[in-house]
Amino acid sequence: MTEWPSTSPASRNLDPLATAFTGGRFSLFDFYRASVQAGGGVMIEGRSFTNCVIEGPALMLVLDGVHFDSTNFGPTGGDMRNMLFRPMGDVGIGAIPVRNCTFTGCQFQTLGITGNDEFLNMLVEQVGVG
Amino acid sequence: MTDQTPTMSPEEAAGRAVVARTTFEKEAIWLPQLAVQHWNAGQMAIDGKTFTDCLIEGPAVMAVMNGTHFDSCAMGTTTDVKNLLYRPLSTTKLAGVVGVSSCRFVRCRFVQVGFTGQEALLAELQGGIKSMAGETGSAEPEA
Repeated sequence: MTEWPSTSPASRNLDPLATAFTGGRFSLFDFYRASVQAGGGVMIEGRSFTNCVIEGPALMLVLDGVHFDSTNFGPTGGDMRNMLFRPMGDVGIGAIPVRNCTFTGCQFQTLGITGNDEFLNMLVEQVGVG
Repeated sequence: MTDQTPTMSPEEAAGRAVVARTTFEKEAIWLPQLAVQHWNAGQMAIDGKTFTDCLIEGPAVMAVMNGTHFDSCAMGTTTDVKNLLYRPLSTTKLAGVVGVSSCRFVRCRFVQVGFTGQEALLAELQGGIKSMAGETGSAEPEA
């Protein structure tokens, strides 16, 4: 993986191996890249994010153990499906895998979400179509 | 008292210079960063550029829009091209992806980049993608 400079000062100040994040604003792809390069593994795992603003562009691959509580998924235009993508294969290349993480009071901006059908259907049902 | 024109940071100025370019050759391109540079310049899609012999890196998912072509590109190190593809649930808007329109990719290599778009595009990519695994014999999927 090429070493790229973070796209924002806020992203540069993050400790990519920390397990709890409160407040702040960062891009998911900056965080993921920094975590991988710091030895945090090939996925974002075992973290909690509280009241964070998390930006894209990025597609979050939601794996098991991920919880969203009071999360603002961003401007969906009244239809949650505008940010949902179904992977056509078994491995989601290009998406950022997230497992066993909690997002509480977070706001997503320019993020998309992918995952298994059960999860995608649940999001559509619970967050809704306007 | 004179008006003070807001000055652009060196980083922002560099980003605007990248956005103004129409050709890229033998360069490594970080696709999320290129997208952010365009958004900061008020352009919501990467449009009208030619990338030749470039390494295009993610993690990112590219929304392949009208007029974008891939010529002799290696799209990823996976034996199943479907692992690179995402079908949008919406037919009107796509959030979180990098829109690319009227761009040409010639002999480029894509790493950690997925692709999405309309159904016809997905079928075309599925049928015509040249995977690096076919060249090297590697069978390792990416996480």
